[in-house]
Amino acid sequence: MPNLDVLHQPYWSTMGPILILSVTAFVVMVLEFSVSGRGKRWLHGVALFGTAAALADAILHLYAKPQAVLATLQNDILANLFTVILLCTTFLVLLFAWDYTQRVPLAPEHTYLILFAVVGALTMVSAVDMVALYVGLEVLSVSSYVLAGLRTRKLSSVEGGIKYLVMGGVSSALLLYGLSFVYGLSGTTNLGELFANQTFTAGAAIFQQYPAITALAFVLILAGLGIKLSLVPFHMWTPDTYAGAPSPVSAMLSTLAKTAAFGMLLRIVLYVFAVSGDNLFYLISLLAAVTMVVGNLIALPQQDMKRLLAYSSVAQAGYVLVPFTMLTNATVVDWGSLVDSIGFYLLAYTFMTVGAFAIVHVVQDARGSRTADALTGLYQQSPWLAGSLTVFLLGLAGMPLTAGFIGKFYIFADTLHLHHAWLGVLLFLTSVVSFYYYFGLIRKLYQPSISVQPARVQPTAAMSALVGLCVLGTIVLGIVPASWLHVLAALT
Amino acid sequence: MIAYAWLVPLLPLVAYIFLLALGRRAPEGVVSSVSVALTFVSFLLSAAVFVAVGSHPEAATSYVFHWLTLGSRSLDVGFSVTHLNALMLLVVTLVSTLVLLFSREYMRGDERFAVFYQYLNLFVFSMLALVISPNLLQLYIFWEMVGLCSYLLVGFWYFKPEAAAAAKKSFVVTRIGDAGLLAGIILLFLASGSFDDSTIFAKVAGHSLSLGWISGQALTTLAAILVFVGAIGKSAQFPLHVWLPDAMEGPTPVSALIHAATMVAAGVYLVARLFPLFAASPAALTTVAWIGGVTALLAALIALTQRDIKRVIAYSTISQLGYMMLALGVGAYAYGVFHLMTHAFFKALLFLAAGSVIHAVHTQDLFEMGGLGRRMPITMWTFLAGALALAGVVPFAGFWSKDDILNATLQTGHPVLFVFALVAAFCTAFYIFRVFFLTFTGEPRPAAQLQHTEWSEAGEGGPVMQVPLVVLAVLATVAGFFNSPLNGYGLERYLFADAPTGAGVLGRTFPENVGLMAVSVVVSLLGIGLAAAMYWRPVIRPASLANGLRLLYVVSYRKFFLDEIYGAAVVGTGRFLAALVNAVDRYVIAVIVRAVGRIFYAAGLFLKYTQTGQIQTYGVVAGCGLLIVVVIAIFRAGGVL
Repeated sequence: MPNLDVLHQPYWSTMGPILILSVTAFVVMVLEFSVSGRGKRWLHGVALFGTAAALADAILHLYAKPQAVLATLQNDILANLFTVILLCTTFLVLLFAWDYTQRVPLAPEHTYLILFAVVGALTMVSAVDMVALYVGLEVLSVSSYVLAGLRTRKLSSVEGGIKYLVMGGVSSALLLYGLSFVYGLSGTTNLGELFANQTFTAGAAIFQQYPAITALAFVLILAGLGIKLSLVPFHMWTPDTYAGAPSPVSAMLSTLAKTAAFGMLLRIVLYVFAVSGDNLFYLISLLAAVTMVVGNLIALPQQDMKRLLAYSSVAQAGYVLVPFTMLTNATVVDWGSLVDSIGFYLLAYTFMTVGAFAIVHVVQDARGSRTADALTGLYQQSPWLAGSLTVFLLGLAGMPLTAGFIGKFYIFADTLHLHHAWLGVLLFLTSVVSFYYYFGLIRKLYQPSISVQPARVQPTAAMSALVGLCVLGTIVLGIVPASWLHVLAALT
Repeated sequence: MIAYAWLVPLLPLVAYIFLLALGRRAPEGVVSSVSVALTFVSFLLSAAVFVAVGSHPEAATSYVFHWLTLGSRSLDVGFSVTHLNALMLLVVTLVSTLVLLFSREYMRGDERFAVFYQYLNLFVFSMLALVISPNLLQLYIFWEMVGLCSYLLVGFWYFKPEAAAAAKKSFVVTRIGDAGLLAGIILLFLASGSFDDSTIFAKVAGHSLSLGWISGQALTTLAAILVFVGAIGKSAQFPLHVWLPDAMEGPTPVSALIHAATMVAAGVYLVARLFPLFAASPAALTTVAWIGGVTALLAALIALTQRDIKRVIAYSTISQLGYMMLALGVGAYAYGVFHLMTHAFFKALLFLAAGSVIHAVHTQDLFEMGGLGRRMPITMWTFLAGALALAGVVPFAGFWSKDDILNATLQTGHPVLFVFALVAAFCTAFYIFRVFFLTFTGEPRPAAQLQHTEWSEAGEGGPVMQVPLVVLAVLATVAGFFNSPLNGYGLERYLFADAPTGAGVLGRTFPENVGLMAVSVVVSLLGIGLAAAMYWRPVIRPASLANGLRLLYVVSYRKFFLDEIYGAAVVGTGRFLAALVNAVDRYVIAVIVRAVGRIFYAAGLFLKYTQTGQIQTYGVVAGCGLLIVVVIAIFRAGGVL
């Protein structure tokens, strides 16, 4: 008699999305080498279907009672929140990849590689064990290295992939080193246990007894994840990799990978350091400040739009890092509002960034160039695409009535409320700097093209759906922020 | 039904979006049909809401949902249906439908026909949304939007320099008022913690409106006056009335809809809506009454001598809006709203009829017209109905509402204002019949025949132009009965239902005064008689009268020199300040800004060149960065830093 208890375990509400996506990934993998020719067109459809199913499962269990599986994976508010964001991102990225393969030949393996990367990302946001966290990170990273270098005939793609691989290796090493210190201090790899020890027993004392080791662990973890988040000064691989990688992969690296890394950082910071390492959080504000300033300044002279978006994503990561700084001197109530700010900004940022990458890609494909000049006259030719790109850029700049404004506004309000006004002011000032380069692109869009009639830009159905969803997301979150905040507030 | 009132503004918005999607080259027939049809459905819905509110007053309430949380305060959006709002919805949708229909022929062949309809639909949406806003913040947003639409439509023929200048002037002058309104709203928010009308009223009634630096009563007065400044700007009251006559550069349907019936009445609506706030401050009410009375008289005096048919009617609008303010100021809430309604009908009628005339003869100068009555009988008869209503001849609509206002002014003990209003009534009858006789009777003036070759073809517009005229003429004739002793003051009772207790601050009534009715009719007839004696059967030669009263004539014709005074005072000061600011801007700020820009850009370039493309560099930078952070962290942990 086989033991059927497994069916009654809480695995499904905890691991549902991970399981669904894993199965989908394997199905797509098998399909990929069993069908040939035109049949491969359907791979994206299968992947999208699996993602939608996982998203549905995640939404159904959004408010489920938190449960842990094997003391490793947990479906608490953090996990649920980030799972939803990650799956939305996946959906958009897959749509993008679908459009991409209709224009540019790309090894069909990318479909399941993306799915495996997402499985890794989901693990990163729901694991409460340092080993599982690390495994998730590696699953995401290894898939990403391959994806970034997937256009093997294009030198820049391979170069970007290799650079990412090398820096990613450094990142893993630093992170693992940092985590090993934490293990050494606490004697456990389980974050839940570690948190409980610090809160209820004298476990905190060990951290205070060895402040240097604690600080070192904190810095190493921060730097390790900082490479993934492309925080300054660990950001330099970013433009090369984003510019070389296939555009859907660039979009994925700047949204999905970052969201997962932010989720993981939030988990570690909250569980390990918020209680007894609170004197270390100034380091986060330091990195946030440097990242905002350098990211925005270096974006100013960029002509290549993908590099510009890469630097813009560096700067944006700086904005998201701001609420992390304040986790330490916040009360439990404020934690909720900080997590709200992070969750809101990440979703808003996803819509705007994926949308912007998508339109830049369409323009590049039609006009053979991705300098800002290639945008010239787009408004006359396809007003909807130009209008959508305007929405995304305005959103990234933080104009009112877009999601970007509300996101920045909430972070700004948090800084005022929690006595980090200088970071808020810096956020505001660097946003002003960012207006310069975002508006430079917008101006190009509406400039009439002079002599030659540029090539016509034709979006596919998948692209139209993707851009439509992103515009909708950017505007709805900007006008009715309550729609998403309500979910966040109910969670936290 | 009331729960679906949000559909009323939504339909014009749908029309706007639809037209936007169709683009500028859309066929005229489609554009105008869609607009008229959707607005007409809006009108039907408004009618249903109007009836539903009347029969179920208890269902008249706000429907709000949560929008944003700022700290402990939350902002709501939604819509609110009161008796006042329901009446406004009805009036606005009715006039809008007719004007949109009229424009179909008036604007035929205009290059930007579709754009014109886009703007009009956007305006109708904004105006309706303004009316049913549940709180002051939302109201303010739409208040600005109607201002924007007005700007776009006044400057619709932007290639005419006068139109462009007028658009700018209207926008700037109303902005002055808007600044006051915004300050008032913020003040009320600070004092009461809410943008919501009913919350504010409750605090006003409970004397719990308070701020640290000002006493409760002074606060109420200040807030009311600030809000009233917004109303002065929007409703073109003295001293901010100067934009409205210039706004006549816009197409005539725009003048009829925006600058007669709806947007300019928004100021009156605002005061009426916040009446409980005003009622709590006698000083504010007195201000409203005096501004209204002075405006009514001043504008009527200016209208006596203007040569441009639309400007006469524009000054008449200012004057009538003054009457409404006067009514509200003396505490006659229902009469102000009643006059708003009747005025919307007969003034839209007068503008559309004037539009019909202008459409036919392509001039706006009264002294280039004449004898048009034979060629355009429908226009003449409908204009006559509007003129009689405006002049206040029994039984036309204006008689009932204006007489009510005179009555209330006298009974509340404002003899000076009563005299103002009575003199203004005399002038009103005179100037509107001066227009009537000059336009429709007598012979065509020689100048006109020489200048306009199409004069001989001048005639009525098609049915599309006639139907709105006739409908409005009927309303201008009978609308007064909605609040006459004959139906037991039905509108009053309808409006008073907003105040549940029946009486309260809204429900002030005034016993009718038959003697006063007779006086007001006689005054009107005297004005008409004088106009007839001068311009119809010339017993008195206008020129000799003008010469005899040279000084008065010039003062009136030059509009009390107010434009010149503003030009010298405001614009002169403005120029000086502008020159000063310009100098500072050009020689100080610009230099700094350019330097800052260059520095940032140079920093960006420098950082860009550090990006060598060599992964060794990246590793070194990352490593050094890490080292620095580690050093900082360790030293700090060791207590050194």
